Amino acid sequence: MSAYFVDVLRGQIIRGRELEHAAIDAEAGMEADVA
Amino acid sequence: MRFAGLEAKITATNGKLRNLRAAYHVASERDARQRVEQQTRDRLWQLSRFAAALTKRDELVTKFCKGAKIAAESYRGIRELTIELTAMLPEGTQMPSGMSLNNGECLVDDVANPAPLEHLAAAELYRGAQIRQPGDQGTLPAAAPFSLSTIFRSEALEPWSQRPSA
Repeated sequence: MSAYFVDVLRGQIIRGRELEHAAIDAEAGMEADVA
Repeated sequence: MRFAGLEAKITATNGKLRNLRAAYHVASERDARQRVEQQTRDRLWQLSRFAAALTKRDELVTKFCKGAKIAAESYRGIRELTIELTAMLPEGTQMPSGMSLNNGECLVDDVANPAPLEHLAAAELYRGAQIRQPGDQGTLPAAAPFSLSTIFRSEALEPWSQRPSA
């Protein structure tokens, strides 16, 4: 049970990292468009 | 001619500005990515600490259940003997008023007290877990002081079998 719980939390952290990177990509894309 | 010189300067300055802006964007993007990676490392470290405590807690729950199993084995014997004792009461006698074979008995400040088994179990959980007072955060309802007089001095409670022999 605990191992599953920890896996879920690890998934949330990794997903959070992916979302942050995606947000940075999107921002960089917008800046490129403006330039 | 003077204007042509100025135009050239403006163009050159604009070029520099564009380059500086581009460099700034590249640097801030790199910083943002580094920040995300550091944040992820921090969170994974927090998770490993959390997981270690969770594992320790699971081990304690298992230990608690093993203890409960030992208590239950005694409880089984207590129940069987309670039923047998009822039938073994000598002829011509009866249980003294206020006493019940379902109760245990304990000493509080060397005075005998009738003690239902569940009260003793609750009192042992209460004092063994070093709960400071009833209703402390996260305490089981089943962990309760034996009596008002023992809330803050659980050590006053002793098993009846510990009484000094007369």
